[in-house]
Amino acid sequence: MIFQQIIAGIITGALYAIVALGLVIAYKVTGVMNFAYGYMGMISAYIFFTCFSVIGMNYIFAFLISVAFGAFVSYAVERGLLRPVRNISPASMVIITLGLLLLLEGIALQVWGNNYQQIPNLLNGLPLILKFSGGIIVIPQQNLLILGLVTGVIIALILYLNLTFQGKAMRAVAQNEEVSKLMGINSSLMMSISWIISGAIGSLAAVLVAPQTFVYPDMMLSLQIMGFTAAVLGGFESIPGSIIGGISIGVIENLVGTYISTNLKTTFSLAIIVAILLIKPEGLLGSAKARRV
Amino acid sequence: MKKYLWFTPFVLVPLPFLGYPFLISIFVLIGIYTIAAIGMDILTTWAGQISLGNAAFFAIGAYTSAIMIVNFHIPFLIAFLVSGFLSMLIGILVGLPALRVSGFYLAVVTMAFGIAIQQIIGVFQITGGYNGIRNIPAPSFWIFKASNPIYQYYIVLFIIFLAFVIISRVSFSKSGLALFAMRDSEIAATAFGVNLLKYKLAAFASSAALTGFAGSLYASAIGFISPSQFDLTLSLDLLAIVIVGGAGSVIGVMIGAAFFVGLPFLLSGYNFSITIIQGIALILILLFLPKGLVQAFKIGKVRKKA
Amino acid sequence: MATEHILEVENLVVKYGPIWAVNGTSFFVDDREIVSILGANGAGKTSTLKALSGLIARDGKITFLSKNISKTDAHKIPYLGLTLCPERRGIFPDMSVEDNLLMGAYTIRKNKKMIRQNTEKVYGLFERLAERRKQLSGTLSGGEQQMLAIGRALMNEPKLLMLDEPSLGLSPKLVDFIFDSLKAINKSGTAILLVEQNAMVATEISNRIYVMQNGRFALSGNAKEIDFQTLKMKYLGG
Repeated sequence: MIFQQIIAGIITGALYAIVALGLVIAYKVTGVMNFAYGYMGMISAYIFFTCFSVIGMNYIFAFLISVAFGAFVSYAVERGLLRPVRNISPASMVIITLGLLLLLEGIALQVWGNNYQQIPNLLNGLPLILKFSGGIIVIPQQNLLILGLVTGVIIALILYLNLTFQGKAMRAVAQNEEVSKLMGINSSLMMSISWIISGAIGSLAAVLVAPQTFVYPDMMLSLQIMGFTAAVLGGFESIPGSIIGGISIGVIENLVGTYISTNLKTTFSLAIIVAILLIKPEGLLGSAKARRV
Repeated sequence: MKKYLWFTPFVLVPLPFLGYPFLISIFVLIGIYTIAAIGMDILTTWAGQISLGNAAFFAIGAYTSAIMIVNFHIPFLIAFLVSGFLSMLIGILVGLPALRVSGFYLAVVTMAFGIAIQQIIGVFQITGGYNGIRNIPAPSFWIFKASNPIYQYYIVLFIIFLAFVIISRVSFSKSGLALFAMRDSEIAATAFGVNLLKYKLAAFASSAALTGFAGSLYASAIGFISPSQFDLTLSLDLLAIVIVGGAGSVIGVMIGAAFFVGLPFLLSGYNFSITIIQGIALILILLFLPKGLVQAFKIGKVRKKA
Repeated sequence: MATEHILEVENLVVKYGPIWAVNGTSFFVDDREIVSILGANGAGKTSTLKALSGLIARDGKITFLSKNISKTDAHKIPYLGLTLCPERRGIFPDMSVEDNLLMGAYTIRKNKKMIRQNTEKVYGLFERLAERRKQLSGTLSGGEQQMLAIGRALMNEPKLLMLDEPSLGLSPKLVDFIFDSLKAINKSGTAILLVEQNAMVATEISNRIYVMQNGRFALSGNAKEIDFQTLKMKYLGG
């Protein structure tokens, strides 16, 4: 029983972790905390719904289109809306992304209405069943898909940022934009790339979670809140931080939901997280040093 | 006295619409949101703290008041005062962590508080669970029942006026200066001997109290409350009202509240999604009128740039 | 005979709002030269270098290797052979020593062989870096960070290396070491434009110097002919 819950928690946590990653990568490179992040993903989920359920496209094809669309929206938002005003205060920047959140919510309502739209799982076969002395664990195929894709994305991102020249250059921009220019790094291009990656990740998360949440304008709200919380819990710094933050929250949530209270699941989980933050205000893996604003 | 004069038009505003109680009840709602948004303004603009959980104080005020009135038949005025007071106490409790964390961390802590309160309200019997509380009577004072929206309008206006008077006094006092100093630089403020702990808690306390009062008025004016009315969106709306209208200005906050609360009613006849307009307005105002819509009016300023 | 200067600056102006940080200066650097711009804090030295490297808006004419770079974007300038080693070291603290050097080679990233050769050259010049190649550069000592910054700036084989206050915060012994290294770098064919508050060490290794005061040159000349006492008393505040 407890293993089943931990596995379920890891899968939820994996989604929190990639949302956290998407937020952190955009924040580290451009200094913008994107409060509209989940809502940008939500638009991609609607694109998927339109391609797959309305037009009748192939599942994989619709999936790729919606992720590419999300990447493009993210690029356009950063380049067209945020870049021109990047010198305003961080607080104002947050409010601009809140404005964007309202705008995207409105667009979704206007275009697709406020009905809950259903999209099917990609994999509906028999669940994976693991039997061992302590009991059995059942994992639906869609969850295996989520776990596989999330792991794949995380590994790809780690390899990109640590092994490729471009990825390292992006980290250089995040650490010191001015000096990176002196090296000949096109920091403006790196910022765009970081948002493209972030947008693609957000769309991926939205399409993966959509079969459970249904597609509607606020579908990503809880994922966004928990992703943001995971990023903060991880110290808003690094990939490992986001992963640890996300998985911990997912597991805490599932255990609390099973053993303490189903109704107050979120309340207790958040209380635990707040307690952690109060004991360690810089997050689990964060450092106390001044960070980029 | 001169600086209070701009209030007079608001006394007269509803008079031409006496025949349209629905319209006046919208004015009432705008006023209630104004009170709550002033609470947000105190926290963000004055003390430089961020809160994504002020909807919780609104909920605490609304539920305290509604439960006292509906379940225990306690007079409105007492319920109203207790709501603000209880809210204030909880505000101080929430303010305590803020002494340790800031920025994103404070955003998470306040947001968590907001979500938790909403969820807790949905679970308990006395709050009516997810169904909420219905048939909350209009505010009454002994035998006088303010069931006509016009009376509610003046009650709300009076409270905004009180808040304005207190804020203008405080902002010119030593405490006000200390608050501004703290917002601009905590280190500098400490160097000048400002007791950060005291002022941060005071900001949280007064913000929570005002929002709690607004919640109490809301419950009695609308007559029906349920957990879904006090979600994260409400917290974000309160923040947006302050920004759109004009941070640090009571009339600015009024304009912001009118924009966020009134506009949906104006456009309700059309099949057009209001948040598109609100979102675009929020972005445009930040870019072109960073001090809010009030910049276009330049009246009712409570303070100049500190 | 009209000499071809590798860098020629005419009437350079840098403004921060109403404040003129650099007020119409003209100067040049010849091939294989070491030129120093000296001056007190706030004289406009750093602004001059930032303007040359394109980091800040500037007016005037800047010609580098017969190319007008007055309007060129910062990230395109290192491709031309003009590299700035920034003030306060400006290393990438969360990256290893090796990766920092790699970033310096960004303009030649396609040429793996050249990167390897240049890395070895830098390690030859600064052995301490070779010992710490896998270490996070944020954990290096001040002197090592300065070596790393200089080494990184050399990775793309600049024709002209600009350095902003390389002696800042270092012990006299380390300053001597760094300046010896600069001499060695110059010997191997790289011209150097140095900005320094530490006038004595800078004058020692320079061919020519300019003394900056309030955004203008108050004095310029051959380093050997400058009377050091006058320089110190009059322009550098003791």
